Amino acid sequence: MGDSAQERQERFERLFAAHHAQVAAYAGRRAPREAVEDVVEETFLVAWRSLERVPDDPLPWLYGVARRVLANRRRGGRRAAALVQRLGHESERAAASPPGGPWLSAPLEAALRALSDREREAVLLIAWEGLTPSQAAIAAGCSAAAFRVRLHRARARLARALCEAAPPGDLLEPVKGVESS
Amino acid sequence: MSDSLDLLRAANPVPAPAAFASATQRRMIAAIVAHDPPSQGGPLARLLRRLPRRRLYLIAVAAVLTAGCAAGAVAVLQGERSAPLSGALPGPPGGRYSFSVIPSLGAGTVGWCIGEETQTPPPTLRRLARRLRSDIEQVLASDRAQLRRGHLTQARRRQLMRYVESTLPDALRSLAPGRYRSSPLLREFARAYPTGEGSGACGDAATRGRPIVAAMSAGEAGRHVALYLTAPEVAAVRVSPALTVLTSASPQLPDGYRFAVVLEPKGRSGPVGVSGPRPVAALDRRGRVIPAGRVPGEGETAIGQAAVYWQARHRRSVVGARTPAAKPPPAACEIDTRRLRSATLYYGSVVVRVHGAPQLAGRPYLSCAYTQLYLRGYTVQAAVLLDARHPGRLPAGLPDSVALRSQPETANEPPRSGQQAITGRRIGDAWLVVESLDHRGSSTLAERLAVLERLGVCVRLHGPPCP
Repeated sequence: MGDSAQERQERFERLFAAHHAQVAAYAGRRAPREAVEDVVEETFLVAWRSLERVPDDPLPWLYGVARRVLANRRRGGRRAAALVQRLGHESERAAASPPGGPWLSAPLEAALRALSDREREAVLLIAWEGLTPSQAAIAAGCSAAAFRVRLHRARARLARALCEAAPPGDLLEPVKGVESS
Repeated sequence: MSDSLDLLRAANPVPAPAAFASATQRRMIAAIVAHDPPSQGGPLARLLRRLPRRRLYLIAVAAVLTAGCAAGAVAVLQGERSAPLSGALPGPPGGRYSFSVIPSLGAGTVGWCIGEETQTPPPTLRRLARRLRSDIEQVLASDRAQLRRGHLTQARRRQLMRYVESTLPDALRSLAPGRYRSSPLLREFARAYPTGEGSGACGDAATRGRPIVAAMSAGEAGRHVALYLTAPEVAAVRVSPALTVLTSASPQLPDGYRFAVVLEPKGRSGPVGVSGPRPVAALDRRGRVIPAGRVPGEGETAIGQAAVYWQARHRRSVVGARTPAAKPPPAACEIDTRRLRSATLYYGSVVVRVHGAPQLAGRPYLSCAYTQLYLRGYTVQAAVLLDARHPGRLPAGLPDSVALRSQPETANEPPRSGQQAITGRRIGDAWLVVESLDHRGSSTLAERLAVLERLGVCVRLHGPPCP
C-alpha cells in the first residue's frame, strides 16, 4: 500500500470514527433497529469510494447519502412486499417497518404523515438531527433558499395538522417505553 | 412548547447518538476498505463531477445524439446503385443482358452457377473479323517473347486452341440475323475443358473468407457488364478506387444472397478485363473490406465433397485418360434410371459419404448424385440436392421457382438468361432436379415431369450405401 493509499484509509477511519454515531442515529430514527448497521455501512461505503468529494463539513453530506440509501432500501422493501403479496403470504418485513416508526404518539405520527416526503425530511433534519437550514439543505440535496421555503411550508402544515389531530397535551405522551425529554 | 418543531424535538426517538462498539467499528471499516476505491480519472472526469447532475444529463444526451449522427454518417456506405439482373447494355442502344442463378448440380459441389444471355444487333462480317483479330492479338500479346524464339509451349498452344474453338463458333452463330448470342455454348465448352482459372460461371457457396461467390461477365468490348454474386453480409463491391457499387437482394437469388451488376463506365476502367470479370473487394455496411482469404478448415476444399466419377462405355472417348467405372459405385446417393427405358446414360458422379458444413452462409444445396442422360430428342441432367449445412433436413426451396398447382411438391424454374429450365420434386429431405441441356434440344415441362416421375432416388446418409 503506497503512502497516498495509507493516508486515504487513515482519513476515512477518522471520518468514520467522528460521524458514524450520528449517521447511525439518523438511520435509527427512520428505519428499524436491525437495519441501522446496514445503512451505516452502505453510507460509509459511498463515502469511501467518493472520499475526494466529501466536503469539509461532512455530516450533512453523510446525511444526504444516508437518505438516499434509506430511500433505496424502502424501494427494495416495497418490491419485496409486493412480491410476497403476489405470492399470497403475509409480509412480515412490511409489517416490521410501519411508516413513521413505533415510537411516536398517534397524533404526531398522523401529523407527520400529512406532510410530503420532502417536507417531512426538512422538519426532521432540523428537529432531530439539529442541523442549521444551510446544513440541512446539503443533506436534502437542494439550495439553501429552496430548503428555507420548503421548511417554512412544512412547519406551517405540520402545525395545522397537529392542531387538527389532537390537543397539544396529548402529543408528548410517551409510547412503547420511549422517553421524551 | 408552542412550536411544532419543539414538539418534534421532544419526540426524538434517538435523542443521543451512540457509537458502535470498537470491535463493530473495526469490522465495518475493514469490510468497507476492502472495496477498491474507484479511479479518479483525469481533468475531464473532475469537471464532469463538478457539474450539476441535471446539466450532466443534458450533456450526455447531446453527446449521444452527436455520436449517433457521426456514427450514422460514417455507417452510410457511399456507392452507385447496382444495375438490375436484366437490362440494357451500356453503349449504343439495342443491346440487352440478363443474368440468372441456379444451383450447381455436379456431385460433391456446394455452389451456384450464373447464366448470362446477351442480345446484340448482329455484327457485320467486317466488324466480326476485326473483333476476332483484336481478341486473338490481345491473347498473343503475352506470348510475343516466346514467338520471337520460334516456339510456344505445349500448354500455351492448347490454351490458344481452346480460345479459338470457343470463340469462333459463337462468333459465327451471331452472324445469323435475328439470333441471340448466348453463352451456354461457352459454358459447355468450359465444362469439357475445365482449366480451373478465369472468371468461371460457377462458384462455391459463401463461407467466412469467401464473400464473392461467383462472377460472370457479358457483353462486348466497350459495353461490358459483370455480375458479382455475393454472400449476405456484403453491402458493396469496390471495382476500382473510383467505382463502388452497392449490392441488392432479389427473389431470383438463393436464400439471403446479394448481387451487384456493374456496367462498364464510359471512358473509365470497367469491371471486365481480358480474362473476365475483374477481382473486386467486398465491403461490409460500414465500408470495411471483408477479408477474402481462405480460412483454415473453411476453404474451398472443405466445401466440396469427394465424388466418384463414372462414365458409360460408349462415351469413353469424351473425357479423361484414366478409365472410370462404367456405372455408379455404391454411394450415399443414387439416381435410379431403370424405369426410364428409353434413356441412354452418358456419365455422372456420386458422393460416397456425405458430411454437413454448418459454417456455410444461407441455405445452399449439396449435390450428392449427378447423371447426364439422353432421351429421344433431348438431353437432361439430373441431380439429388440435399441441405448442405445439415444433410437430412428439409432443403430450401428452389430459388425463383413456382410450385405446380397440380403437384405442390414439384417446383419449376422456367428457362431464362442462358439457363435451361429446371424442374424439381421433393423426395423426402431431398430435391430431385432435372435440367434441360440445350445442345441436343430442350425438353418441355411435360417431358421433365415424365422424367421426374420415372427416376428413382436413394439417399442413405448413415449405414450401408445405396447399391
